[in-house]
Amino acid sequence: MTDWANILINAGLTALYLFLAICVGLLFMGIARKVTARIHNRVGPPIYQNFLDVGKLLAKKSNIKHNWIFDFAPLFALAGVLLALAYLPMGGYRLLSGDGDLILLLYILVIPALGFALGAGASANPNAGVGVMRALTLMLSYEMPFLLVLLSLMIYYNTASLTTLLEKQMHSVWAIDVLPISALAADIALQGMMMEKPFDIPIAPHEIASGPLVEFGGNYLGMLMLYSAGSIVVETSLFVDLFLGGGIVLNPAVYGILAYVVNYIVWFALIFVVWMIAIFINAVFPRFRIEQAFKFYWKWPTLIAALGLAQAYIMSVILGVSV
Amino acid sequence: MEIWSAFGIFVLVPLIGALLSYLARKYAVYLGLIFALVPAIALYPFYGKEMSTVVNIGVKLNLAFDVTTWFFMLMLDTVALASMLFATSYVRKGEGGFSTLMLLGLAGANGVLMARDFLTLYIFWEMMSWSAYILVLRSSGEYARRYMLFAVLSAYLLIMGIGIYYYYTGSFLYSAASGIPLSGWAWILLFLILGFAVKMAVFPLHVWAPYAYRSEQPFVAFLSGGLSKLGTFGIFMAMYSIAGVAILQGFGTFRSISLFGYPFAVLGAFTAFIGTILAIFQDDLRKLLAYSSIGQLGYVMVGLGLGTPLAVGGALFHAFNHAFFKAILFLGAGAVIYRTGKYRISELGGLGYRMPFTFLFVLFAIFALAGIPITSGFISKWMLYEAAIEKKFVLIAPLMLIASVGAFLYCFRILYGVFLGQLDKEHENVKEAPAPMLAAMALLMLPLLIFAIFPGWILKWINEILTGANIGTLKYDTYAYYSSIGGADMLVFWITFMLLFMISMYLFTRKRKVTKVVDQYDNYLAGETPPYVQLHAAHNFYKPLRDTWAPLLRYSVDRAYEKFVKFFIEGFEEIKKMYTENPQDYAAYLGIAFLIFLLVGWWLL
Amino acid sequence: MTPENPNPLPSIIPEKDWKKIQRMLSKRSLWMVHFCTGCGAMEMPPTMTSRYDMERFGIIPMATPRQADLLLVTGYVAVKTLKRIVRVYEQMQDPKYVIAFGSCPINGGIYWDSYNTIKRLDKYIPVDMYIAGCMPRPEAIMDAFLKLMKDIDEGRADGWLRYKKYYEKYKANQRRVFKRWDE
Repeated sequence: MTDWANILINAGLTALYLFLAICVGLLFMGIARKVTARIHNRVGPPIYQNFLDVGKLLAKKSNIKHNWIFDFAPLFALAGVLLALAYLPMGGYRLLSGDGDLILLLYILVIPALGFALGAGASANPNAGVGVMRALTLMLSYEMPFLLVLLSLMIYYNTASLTTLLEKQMHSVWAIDVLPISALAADIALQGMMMEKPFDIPIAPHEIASGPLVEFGGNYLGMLMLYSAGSIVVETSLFVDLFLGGGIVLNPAVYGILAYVVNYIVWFALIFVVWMIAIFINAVFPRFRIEQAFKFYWKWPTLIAALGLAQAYIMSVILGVSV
Repeated sequence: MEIWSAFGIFVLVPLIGALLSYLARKYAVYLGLIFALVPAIALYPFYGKEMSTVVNIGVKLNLAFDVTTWFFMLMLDTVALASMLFATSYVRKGEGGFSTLMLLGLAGANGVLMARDFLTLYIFWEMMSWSAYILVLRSSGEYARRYMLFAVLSAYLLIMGIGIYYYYTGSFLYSAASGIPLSGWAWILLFLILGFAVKMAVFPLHVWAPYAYRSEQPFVAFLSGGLSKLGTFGIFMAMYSIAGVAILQGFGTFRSISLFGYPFAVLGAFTAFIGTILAIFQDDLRKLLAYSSIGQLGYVMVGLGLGTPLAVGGALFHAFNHAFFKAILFLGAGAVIYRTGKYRISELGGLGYRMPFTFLFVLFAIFALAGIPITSGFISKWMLYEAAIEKKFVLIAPLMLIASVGAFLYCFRILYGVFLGQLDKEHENVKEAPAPMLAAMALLMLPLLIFAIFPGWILKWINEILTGANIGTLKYDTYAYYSSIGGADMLVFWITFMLLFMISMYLFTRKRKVTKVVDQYDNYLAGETPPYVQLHAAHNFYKPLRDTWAPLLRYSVDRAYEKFVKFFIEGFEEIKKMYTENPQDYAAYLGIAFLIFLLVGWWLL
Repeated sequence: MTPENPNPLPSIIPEKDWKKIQRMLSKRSLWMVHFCTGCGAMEMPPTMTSRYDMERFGIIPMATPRQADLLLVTGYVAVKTLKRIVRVYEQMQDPKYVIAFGSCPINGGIYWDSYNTIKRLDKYIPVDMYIAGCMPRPEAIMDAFLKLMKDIDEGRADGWLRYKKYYEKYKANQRRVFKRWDE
């Protein structure tokens, strides 16, 4: 017998968390602008500026599209990023992460990117094609260390499920304490994943007129902005879930509703820290060229990640540590 | 008696069809379609039937039918049907050769699947191989020689394996395998696996594929989608049916993986990686797909090598998926070539606006190829990854994972280069592909979609195969599938995806009325209003990446083979100089030869 | 305003407030594409960077007109440039605004007798705000931005509506100076 009440409550909570995640993402974008402005010795916009931007874009009175494939971008990007958020534990709440593991999440993360790339490609603008080419090359670059990091975690904790990973970290220590080398590699990979400088190559506004975004405006751009807000939360939260125990400080089984509130606050603080690291680097760095980024990622972060993998392998397989 | 009906339907009917379509050339393509339809439809009642018999046609053919045979026939016959359906508009009317050879190949393939002794296997294997060779020859010309060389190599390797098997057992029957020492098994399996691996185009035996896959696209769809699965079938049979898990484990184990299978798994992972990297840099659509095919079959090889239930199950599932999505991709390429006559990605572009259905089918196949969870392509890849990760293989798993990221790169190259971007003036009047072509692709798309929603259905068949071969069992139910370290539920996934897609739809449709469709030339190009120029940015698409890889791309297996061949040719050139066309020289040779014989004979006696 | 943006919650938000919200949104988030003709471009960097910092008001430069709401024409406009300006303007999404810098777009400025510049930008595309001066200082630019924001708030910045209404007349004016469209 299916427990419909339970399912409905879960669905409602998931919707709430998704909504909050998008809001957090927009807030983070605003904070990033403010922080960057302060680093530049400027005043900067108010931190709620990005809510206004999205509101304005969604309220634009005319839109253009090139053809029906162009519509794929906003549709798949937003749906895909929400789906990725739904499969990611946020603030100790597991959402759907019990029903799909890390590998599924890894592939769900591709849905918005692929939809976006399709829409961008559907305009005949060569800048869009070049931008997507750069984005995909960058993806190949940062995935190399990132996959090694994921593998080290999966081998060390002997699980591919994010829920189990969080539980194991909750009962022992956070993964960053045991696998600090992998965490370092993951953070470098994260910079590329979030396309912050020095890896903002795909959307370089001064070279290729914001790349894949070049033909998007109005409602389309507004939805894509919601997508990028969501993907900020996905990426920072992924790091926090993998290495910082998902921000779980109180066991929900013991403390009940209080634990969810506290964990959410801690999770928020942690993703904020991760985001700030990325933004500080972003504010002071110039941009790589794409082949430099590729060479960089397949050299140093990969080496660090391989070291981390070796550590996890030795600890788990040879020393027989089981968490 | 039932096995006779099976033999009749799956082998004799295509053979009769081949003969008829050769005689009645005018209706050859339709005859081919009908005779390919019969086995594809008649397959369904045969599910779950187990039978065997000996057919005496001068040689004794030991035939059997079980769920493994059925599973592989399902892919082969369906792909063959789709290819024949596609060919009805692709191949010139009144040409008998194509249908005849395709049906011969199909009969051979079905025979291979039903064979239960090596002699039968060899007969049908050669039938399949030679008809495929002539089909390659029809359009690839001199490059067909490469295919033939490797087909012959494959046959020699098989014969060597079979010969050793016969030496130990004195029988060609699969079931006679007993009392073979471990060293004997090592040689038998090595030769058999290498022989079958040629068909699967495993590195370094892959060099024939990029050339052979340039022939007529409906045939290539069958070659890549269908016939290459015979390699999978052969390796599966050799390793798990004829030898069995116990013998493989006898070679010693490495984290409960047979040490015999492990090198093949590593080889498969390398194949996946190298195939993918090479595919990224191809400009010829067919060559790109060929390298992609090599890479994807590398995954299958990984699964077969690892040999855990999850790995072999994943390999079989991936072979199944590959049969369908790669056939769609080749047929899609065929449709594009049929309509435009071009196959270079950089010369095409924007066809998605003119051929929307072809684009959608190809897009869906690409979702399956890239492993996007809305198709079943994801599930098989998932199984293979988890199989490698749960056994903690730190070499195989990252190679497979990064190869799959690389797959996104070449997938987008196809999508952008051919279907998106700027529509060339030349192609402004391109029409959608004819209905039979679309129907063929739609037919192939169905299983990919169905098994993405109900993976349990296909996992049930695979589970039967695995239990039949004593490998183990899978953990699954109708919607979900599990490994020891994780799992995923497709029902939850689909419901969530649909609901979230509706949110996205809501935000989107609000503005549909005020959205204006603009011309493709109404682009932002720094305010410039250029006259007509080609702005399709598909030429040398991954140039920065190519530049970074350039030092490594200098090394090529293809060229290594060519050098090898050249070395021999030069040697033969030296020998050829003996033929001076001067009778006196020949007389002198005769004298010298006579002298040598005399001396040797004298010494011997 | 127009039926294109219907009130999603008419029972909760009064129609008047809904309009107000929309205007507030479009004034507080002006994304601009600056068409750097002439010398006015030189005045943009100080306006953007730490001395004057126009990002305070949510005004940021955008790479393409598809994303932008505000077109800056920063100096004299040659006939050849005008084509590009018109094209860029038409590629922007409604509502869109134009600010013209300096004396040149007002009356030709020092190019008043040039054979290949236009004298009044207003004849070819609707201009919402002129900044006089040769060149206007960043203070003047900031002032213009604030004035434009006020105009938007009060519904007076309706250049894009004018362009729609008098489209044929604008086009006729444009056609008069362009011999060909594809140069």
